[in-house]
Amino acid sequence: MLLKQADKKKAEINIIPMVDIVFQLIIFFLVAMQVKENKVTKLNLPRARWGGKVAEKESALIINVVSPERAGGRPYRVLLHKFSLKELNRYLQGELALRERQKKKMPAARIRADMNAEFKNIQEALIACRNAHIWKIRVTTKKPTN
Amino acid sequence: MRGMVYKKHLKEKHKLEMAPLVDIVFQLLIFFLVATEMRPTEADFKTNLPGKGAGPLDLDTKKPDVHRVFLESTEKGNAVFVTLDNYKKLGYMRAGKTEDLLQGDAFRKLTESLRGAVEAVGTNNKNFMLVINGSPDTRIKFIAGALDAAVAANVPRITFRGLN
Repeated sequence: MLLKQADKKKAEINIIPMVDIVFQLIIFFLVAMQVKENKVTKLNLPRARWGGKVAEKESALIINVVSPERAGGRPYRVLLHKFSLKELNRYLQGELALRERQKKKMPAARIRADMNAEFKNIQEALIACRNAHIWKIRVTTKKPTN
Repeated sequence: MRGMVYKKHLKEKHKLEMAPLVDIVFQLLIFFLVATEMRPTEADFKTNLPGKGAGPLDLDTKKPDVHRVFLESTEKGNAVFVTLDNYKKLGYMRAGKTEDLLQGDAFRKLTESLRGAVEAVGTNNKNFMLVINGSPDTRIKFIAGALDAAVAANVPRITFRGLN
């Protein structure tokens, strides 16, 4: 009689270890994730081995430069706005005027250019930065995978 | 008898319902899977533009501490011809089949030449300058390659110029 009762016992899946693993995964993604910033455009950055670490705390002004195929006459992306050179100049001059009113210095500029962007666009961006009293320039690359 | 039933009810084991918890946890997991973008392995090259009121740079290549590298774009931007100081032809660099690769050894030769030049004027000479001259349609991957070669050779000052 006792033996029969034991056979009838309902089999249960123990979900506690599964919950543990799922929580571990959530914690991993929380730590590893970078919430998509609207300052950064998705670009295929040029590869370079010797670039220095990106100063995360430095509140740099990010100028993204896209490849000619994506540009459509507006190769610059700042805060996801598409800019032509004229518009970039106007934007930077606006930032300069704002900072001058606040008696603040212009921040550094990070030029994030697609690996297939053209050099003339970078040169023009550098001139625009200089005209807006931005002296510190960072050229962003990506470490090669191999 | 009534008392007995009540007592039995009190003694009933309370169970924690796990199913809604698992639902929520899975919802969270799916959210993070979709919203996550892994930290990119980005790196910066730092440079300073000439300050307010600074005159034009003295780019006299006859000086031992000023060198110019020329990157002339060919093959619809897929290759560059690399020359150092107007006379030293270092060869072609081409875009490789994979994005990470640049084919050719011109940048390796550039690093070696620049390292020799830096050592010749003394590694503490902060006036040593490399001017990277690129034709307007030169792709940034080649500019980054030249920049990488210069930093590998411990060049302290790097600036950019266009080729007309």
